[in-house]
Amino acid sequence: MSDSSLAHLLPLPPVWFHLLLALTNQERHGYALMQDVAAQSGGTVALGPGTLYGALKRLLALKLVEESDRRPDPDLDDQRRRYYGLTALGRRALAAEAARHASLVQLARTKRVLPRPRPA
Amino acid sequence: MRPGRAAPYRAARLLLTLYPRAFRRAFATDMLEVFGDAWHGSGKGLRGLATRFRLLSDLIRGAVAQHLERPVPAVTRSGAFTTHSRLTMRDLLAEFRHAVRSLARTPGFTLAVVLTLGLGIGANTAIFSVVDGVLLRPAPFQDMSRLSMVWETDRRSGTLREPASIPDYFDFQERSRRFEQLAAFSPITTTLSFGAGDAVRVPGLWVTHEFLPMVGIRPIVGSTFTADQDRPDGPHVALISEAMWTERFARNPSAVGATIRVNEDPFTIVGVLPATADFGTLQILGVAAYRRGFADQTSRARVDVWLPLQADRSPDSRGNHPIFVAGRLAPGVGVSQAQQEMTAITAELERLYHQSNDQRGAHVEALSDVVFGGVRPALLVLVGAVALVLLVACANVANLLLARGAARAREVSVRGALGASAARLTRLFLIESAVLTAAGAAVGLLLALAGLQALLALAPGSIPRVGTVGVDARVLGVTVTLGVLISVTFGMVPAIQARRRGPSLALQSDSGRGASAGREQRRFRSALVVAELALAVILMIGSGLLIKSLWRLYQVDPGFQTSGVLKADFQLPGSRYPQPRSTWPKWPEMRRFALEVRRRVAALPGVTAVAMANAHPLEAGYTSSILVVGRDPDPTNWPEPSIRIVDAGYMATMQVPLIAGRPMTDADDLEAPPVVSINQAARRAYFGAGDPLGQRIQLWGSDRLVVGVLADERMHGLAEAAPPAVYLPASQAPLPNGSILVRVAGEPTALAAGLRSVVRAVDPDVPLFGVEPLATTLSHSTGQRRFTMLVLGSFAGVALLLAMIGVHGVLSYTVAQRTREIGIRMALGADRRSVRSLVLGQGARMVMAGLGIGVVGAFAGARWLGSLLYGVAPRDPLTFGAVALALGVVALVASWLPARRAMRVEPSEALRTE
Repeated sequence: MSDSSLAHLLPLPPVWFHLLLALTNQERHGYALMQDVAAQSGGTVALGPGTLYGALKRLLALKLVEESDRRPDPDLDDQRRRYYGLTALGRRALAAEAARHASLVQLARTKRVLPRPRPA
Repeated sequence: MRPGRAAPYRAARLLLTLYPRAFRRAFATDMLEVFGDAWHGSGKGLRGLATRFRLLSDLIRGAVAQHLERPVPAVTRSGAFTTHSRLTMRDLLAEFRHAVRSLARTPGFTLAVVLTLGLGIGANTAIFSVVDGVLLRPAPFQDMSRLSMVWETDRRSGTLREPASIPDYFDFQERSRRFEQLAAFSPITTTLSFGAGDAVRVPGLWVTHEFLPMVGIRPIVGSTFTADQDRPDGPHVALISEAMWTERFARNPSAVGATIRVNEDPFTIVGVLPATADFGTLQILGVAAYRRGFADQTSRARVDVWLPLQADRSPDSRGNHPIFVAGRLAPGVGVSQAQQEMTAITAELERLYHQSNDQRGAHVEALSDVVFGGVRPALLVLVGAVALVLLVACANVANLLLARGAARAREVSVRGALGASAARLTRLFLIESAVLTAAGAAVGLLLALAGLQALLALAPGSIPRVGTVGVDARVLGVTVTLGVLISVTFGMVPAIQARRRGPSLALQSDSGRGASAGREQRRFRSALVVAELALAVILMIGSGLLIKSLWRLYQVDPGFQTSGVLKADFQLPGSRYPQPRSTWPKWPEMRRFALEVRRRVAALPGVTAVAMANAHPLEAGYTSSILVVGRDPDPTNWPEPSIRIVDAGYMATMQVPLIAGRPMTDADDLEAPPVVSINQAARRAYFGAGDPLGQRIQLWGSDRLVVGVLADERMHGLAEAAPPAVYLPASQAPLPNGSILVRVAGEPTALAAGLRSVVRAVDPDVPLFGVEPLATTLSHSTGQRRFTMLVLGSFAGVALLLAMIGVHGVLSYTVAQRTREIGIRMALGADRRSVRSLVLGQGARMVMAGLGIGVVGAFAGARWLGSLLYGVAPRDPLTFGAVALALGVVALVASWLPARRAMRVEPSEALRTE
């Protein structure tokens, strides 16, 4: 999964990686993103509004993320809020970054820094 | 509650102003939303606190990042991006850390600069926020400049701001062409109930149906009154305030159509008015000659209910003046043209209705002058004062930075010699200045928030819309910018000097061998301190004059004794206490109530005297025209006296001395001949040198024998002389409303519960309101003066403190620089005392110069203060002298430490320091 047009974007800053990850399954508004990132990082990445929207601004500018008209669930919908979703480019960048991490993890395993996974 | 009002939101909104405009436009709303959610979801306890702190600091960090960030790279044609680096940020962070460390090494200096900047920024932001919120923000009324009050005047009493009679109002409406519209209103205090047994006393307004549309107030829900609802015997309809709607109806639109009870009668709510609807009411009533309604009773009343005036144009009511008239000028018409027209109209009414309208004219006054006239001088003085404080703060910061720069000359030279580029040194100093300013601005913001709270808590209710004032971001921005300019400019000085001198010279000059740059700088710093001292002197003299005014005011004998007296106001509902004109003054229900209350209150423990009166001694009450029987009708060219209905206990309760004649007693009842007492002002006005006792005064249709002369009571407040007053015995003129006054042996507030239960026992449905010690009422009446005095006083204190830091700093610097010289002098035989006086002498020279300039400045500026003073001349020599003395003493203290240090210089040590 190598994509030369993405090379200049990698490595993604951790905050971007987490934000893109949080957007993989559905569109999210700002506060939900904040909570998701906190949850999926086990609390190690805590975003405040300044960091969050600073990152969103760049992700929007780089066309990794777009504003979304699709609302997830009419019951949960909140008209005032803006929702964000992943672009195709964003999805590719995320995959490329994940692959980069995966190859690093692979490397760490061959060097026995990490234990090898047991076959199931 | 709207989220926008809560403190964290306000803080977040302020911080958002730090972001670049484009960013703000794109994300500010969402960020606030997220901030609010996260704030509320942050949990309790220490962890919650940490989260909240992180949320706020993240907003600041984000702002810094946005400003430092390079523009988002554009896509090149090949699809690749230009590279972006995060190196700059990291570099800056390292230098930032270095600056913080270096500042932390000199905590005294850092603290002084940060506090000075903080005080200057904070005080200015707080005061300008008040001024902006009160004076500068547009009025809630539409086309405020075309609205004006139309007062009636009375040439006999010389009063300019009287209410009008209802027939006069209708005549004004019919005849005036220069007013596009005229409307009337009148204050009431109503008992409002929404269901069973939860009655509240609230201020209300009767308004004609034209009033609200004329000023441009639109209801939030429902509608304002129609002409049909405003007819005599029209329907019982009411408008309620937004606050009442929120409290009682949870902002439910179905409140329109609901029924409330106003003074026990059912009324239908037809609409809800916004919080701004009562704008200016208190100020209008406050300046009125009488009929001031709730403006006399509470210092921060909010109008909660509006009723249609439903005015009856019966011609016999021309002698009654129950309403205030306001108007909207026709396009292109000025106040003076409207005045001309109204003067002509009132002259005609005088001819037509000689009996009632003799000597009555009109006074047209711009509404904004009425509303803001009372506070404008005080607020402008405070603005001037706070600007002086900012100047002092800037001078002080400059001074401190120069001192630090001088002390660091060596460090700069060493760094330069070791190869640090000039640009790098400059950046180092810049970053240091930025850190200092940022810290100062943060302290300033905190001080502004806290100071504003304190200001608003202290502010008297006479300041219009003081309840809606918030910290103003623009003001904060301007003051912070000024701080940045100052600290950057003076923070650069050491770098520039280092560059100019070159490394070798700087390295040598460290020992202070009288380098000419040092002397030049010392002179400049002395000048700064002299300027600080001069400004502090001006502020001190100003606040000294205000303190003396207030002190003079407290020395005034009001004519009555407030200490130990509890005051409570009451109003008897007309439904159970009928007031038929024909049977006046019998009205047995009212008499029974008064007698019962007096009897039972007198029996309460600790009570030494009790009285009931139509107005407490600090209430202006109302006036009425009188005649002296047997005198030519011609000398009616008299002021109308204030009418005071008091019972037999009044003189003992208020301790008003009897000057002549006899006191009024309970024996002066309906069977006895009608009597009155008068005060000394009335004796002077109506009887001159003659004896009033035994004369008769015609009042309200009957002749009354003058039996006593009382000392003057200052019913218009301490600053105004007592008006003529006529006292009627309550036993001959029953009281439908008024005040209960109780003199107690101990603490008056302790009696409040007892008083309430007594009144409840007599009639459970008569609520008491305005229950407070009369001393409190008196201190409310001087609230605005005290406010101005306290604020100006604290400014003077801050300025003095800063100036003293300056004096101390410059002298210390001198001593440090001249250590060698002092050592030589001592080695040559100068004794320690002469060394001390050398330093003290330098301090004294700065103080004398500052004092001289300051006194001249205060002399020139004193007239600005004129309207705020009482009983003291703007150029009061005693105040000027006291300030000079105080400054001298404090300056001596500030000079003492450096002088002692100089005295203790050991010649051998001093000479060795090469």
